[in-house]
Amino acid sequence: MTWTARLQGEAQPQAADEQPSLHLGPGRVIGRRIQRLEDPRLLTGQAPFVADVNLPGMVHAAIVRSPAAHGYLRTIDAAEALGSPGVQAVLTAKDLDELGVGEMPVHWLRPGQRNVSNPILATDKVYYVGQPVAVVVADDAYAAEDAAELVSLEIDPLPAMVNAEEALQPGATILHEEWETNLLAEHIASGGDVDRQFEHAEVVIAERFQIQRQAGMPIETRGAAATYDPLTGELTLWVSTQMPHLVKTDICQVCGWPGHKVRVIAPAVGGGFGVKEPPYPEEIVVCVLAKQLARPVKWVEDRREHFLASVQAREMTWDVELAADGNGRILGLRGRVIYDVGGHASAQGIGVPIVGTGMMLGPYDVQHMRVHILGAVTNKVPAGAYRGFGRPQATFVMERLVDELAARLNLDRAAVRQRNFIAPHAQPYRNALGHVYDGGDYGRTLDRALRQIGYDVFAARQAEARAQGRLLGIGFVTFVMEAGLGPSEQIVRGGHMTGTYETVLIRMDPSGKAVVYCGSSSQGQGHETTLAQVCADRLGLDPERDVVVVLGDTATTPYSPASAIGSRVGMVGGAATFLAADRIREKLVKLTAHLLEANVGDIEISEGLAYVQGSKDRALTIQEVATAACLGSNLPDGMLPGLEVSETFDPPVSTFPYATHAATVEIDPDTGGLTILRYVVVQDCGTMINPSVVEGQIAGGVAQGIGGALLEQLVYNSDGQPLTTSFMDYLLPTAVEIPDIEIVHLQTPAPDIPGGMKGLGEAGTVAPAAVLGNAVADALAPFGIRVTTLPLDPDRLWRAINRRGDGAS
Amino acid sequence: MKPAPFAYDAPRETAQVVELLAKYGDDAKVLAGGQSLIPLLNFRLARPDRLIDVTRVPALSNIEPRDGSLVIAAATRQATLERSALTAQGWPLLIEALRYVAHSQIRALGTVGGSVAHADPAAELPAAFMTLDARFHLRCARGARTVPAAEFFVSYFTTALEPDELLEEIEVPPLPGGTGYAFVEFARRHGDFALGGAAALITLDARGMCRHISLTLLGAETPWRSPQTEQVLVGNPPDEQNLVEAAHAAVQGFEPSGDIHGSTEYRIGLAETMALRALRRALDRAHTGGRPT
Repeated sequence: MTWTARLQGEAQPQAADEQPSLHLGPGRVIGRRIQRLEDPRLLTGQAPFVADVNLPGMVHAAIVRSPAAHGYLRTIDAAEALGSPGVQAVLTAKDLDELGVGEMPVHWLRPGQRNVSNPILATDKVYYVGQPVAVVVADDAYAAEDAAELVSLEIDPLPAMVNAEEALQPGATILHEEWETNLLAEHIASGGDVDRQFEHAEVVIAERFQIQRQAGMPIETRGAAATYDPLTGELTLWVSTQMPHLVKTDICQVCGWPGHKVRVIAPAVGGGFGVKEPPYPEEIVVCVLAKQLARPVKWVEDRREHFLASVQAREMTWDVELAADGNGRILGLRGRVIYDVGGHASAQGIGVPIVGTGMMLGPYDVQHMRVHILGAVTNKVPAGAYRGFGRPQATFVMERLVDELAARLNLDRAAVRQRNFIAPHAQPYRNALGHVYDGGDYGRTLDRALRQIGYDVFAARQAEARAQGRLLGIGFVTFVMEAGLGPSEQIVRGGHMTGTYETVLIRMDPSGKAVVYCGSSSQGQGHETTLAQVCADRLGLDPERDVVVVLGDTATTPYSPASAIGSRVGMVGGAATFLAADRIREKLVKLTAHLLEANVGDIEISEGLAYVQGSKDRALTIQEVATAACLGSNLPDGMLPGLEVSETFDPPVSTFPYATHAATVEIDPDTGGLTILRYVVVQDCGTMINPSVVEGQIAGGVAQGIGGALLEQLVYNSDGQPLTTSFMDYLLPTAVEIPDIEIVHLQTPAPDIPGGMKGLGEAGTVAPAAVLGNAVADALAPFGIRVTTLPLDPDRLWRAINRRGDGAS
Repeated sequence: MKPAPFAYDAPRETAQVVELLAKYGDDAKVLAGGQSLIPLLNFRLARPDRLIDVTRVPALSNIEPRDGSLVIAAATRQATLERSALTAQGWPLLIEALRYVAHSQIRALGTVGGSVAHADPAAELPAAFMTLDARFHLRCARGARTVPAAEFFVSYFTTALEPDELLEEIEVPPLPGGTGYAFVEFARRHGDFALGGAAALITLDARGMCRHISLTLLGAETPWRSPQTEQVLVGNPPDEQNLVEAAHAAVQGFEPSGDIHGSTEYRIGLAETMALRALRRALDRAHTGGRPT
């Protein structure tokens, strides 16, 4: 896969490619395309992952998982397993209870939510195939798996409930009997007076949309390795997670252990995508066992387990209506979405559809909506985060409706969008649900994308192809998303029980080099590079030679409640780094002025030097100034020695990056095969710290979005047995399926964020399903087909074209 | 995903393989490239007591001409066959089929005989060998026998091989000069198991009529060689109307099983498309003297 990028400067027309290689100083390192600092280590196999943690005396855990989707767990007989060669222990819920270990907390709570925590190991009931029931520990992973087979479970089966809509019908099999319903929680996303809009609407588009179950599928599965020192009482856990500090918080809470005796390290992590956002039962279990056995314990999830026990996502059924006037002006949106929660709440509760629905009206100036969100439990793996977090689904629904509106009124799809966009001068704009956007020109991204892809000449090409029996289509989507959430106060009030601030500590020693400590972790996004660039930019340093970024270790980094979620590290971690580095710079400037007997206002810092403006012969190296600061003698009055600064940044607002994606496709009518001919992205994510990293994030996100639109589907049969438990059946896109992605950048700096960055990490995933849905609907327009169900697989397209069965609609 | 315990033998001579098979029979499983068997072991879907690795037997890794035929020893790697000049010259259908077998990394390890003996209904090589009227040479302690392709494939993942028998060689007879060939398939991603596919051979006579036709569809219980297609075309001109009719005839009685990737109905429709595309491409090549186009 390759992609081409063009940079269209807006506020800062910095063509990063054209920067001289050595020209360091404020405003000169942010925006530069340096190579990722972590890549040599990752690409040569030198970076240590959890599976690489090997300690003397280490034993290995295997998890006994429920083979049944739903049933009463009567007995667990571990006698034979305990007698199996090399077995050290078998752990069940009863043991955890005796040890005083509690339940996994749910981090996202709504009023009336029916479960706020979940058992670590199954107690009296099992709710999905794969639910952890017992843990076998043995001398090696082979012996552990052999013995795990010997643990005998007696389960009285109950009928499985695999459809969230049916789960809410009267008389449905109830999973959690004490609730007397399968409704986990609900929420009404409402603003304005939508019913009144429908009363005088000239057009109403009513549609039902179904989005399939998918998952993030990081290349590295989950894993945890723990060791306990009985002399000091200290426990260390290495875990493949996006949130090391939250894992630590949960361990301390669930086990009742003191925070200063627990250290959690996220080493190199091979992808997260939301799957590794929540703390998991296995991570707690490994810690408990390490302490009980006084031996290091390791568990590495295998791919089959990953399909059975790591959060899944995206499954929703929408019944919605869009009201408009006869000119295509959208008046309101109303409807209902049923979210398939799985066997019990994951850490994210029903946060996913709430976030998705929150920005559903996107770039459109519409003040009336009401969507009733219902989260229903089913006998499937719990559903949680996956990059995009509800936005790909909501965008698919909204943008299909807009295309259908244009078709109904026989209006141009681009014109309908332009007619409804929020005007740039109306910014900051408060949307129907109260989110206040931070600026942007949505129409400009659409124009630019359509120009790039050749929308004006496409209709003629399409007609020509149709005459030859070939099916071409074009689709485009403009979206705005809330990214890098804040402030903490508002997020916690919304039910997400963690703050969203970030603290960054920067240390400079007498060498004049800087170490940046950030509590977030990295799963491959390039945080080491981007945070180093921000720090280097403010301090006149070389990001490659003079800065090191330390992430993901709770013993050395500041507390980070939200860490690598919500497209926030570049924006919030970047802003905290920006502020901390500026404070170091301030001190360097003051000290330099003192040492050179110059005015503070005359001191500049760049290229590793601190000097008097206009006379570079009156200069000190950063190293000399840092040495003086650390020596602590000859400081100006009132200055304390040392160069160590910690800054916390709690975003005063979220940011609202936006983009237009456009694609052209060809569908083979005889096979139903779809080929993406071109894929264009015009993205505005505010200030780009490193355009190459931005492009990598967009390309990866688009690839995942394409996978979700065309290929990926987690399937369960009516007994709740999963049918997709390997990559033979769950089809991820490969380089062959992903076209060149043409990326055009706009840059409108975020007004309230130091550095001007907007969240980006998830943006690529938001539009592809909607874009391809619209392109397929366009290609199949002669057949009168409504595209409402994902994925757009060849069977579905072939049946639609050949008018067999339910086809694409 | 760790396999259950098993014993492992790595003999160096075919005779030793045969002896071990005689001794252990059903309790043993022949390990060739391992591209299907190892995942089955890791999922614990297969749990033989013993694996007999045949890839260390030099005589089982060889490609040679014999009396005009192509003889492929069973443990020959798929990548070796794919790069064989002899095969390219006389049996290019095999190479076209191999390009659809998974990915190059898998073909570097996977063996020709392993794919045949595994008999996955969506596999390319069984369909190609069926089209080419290949003969399978089997050996066991009780003696040797030869089974034609039409009798070798019995059902899903089931062949004529007895528990103590080894697939030793695959013999592919020569094709008449100027035979056109084609292998086409459609999968959800390149390298996946096919949703539908077809292998075709067409030999024309001096008047341009179809003298010999061979068409096999993949994806049903066994590779589906369609006699109806041959009846429609042999002795007749290969015009577009006849090709369409032949492709339609090919799927009469063809029963692929549906799964999450494609319904039976879709797979039958797709098979007809694949059959037509294979016939068209084979015909183009027959017109150009059987050369790759």
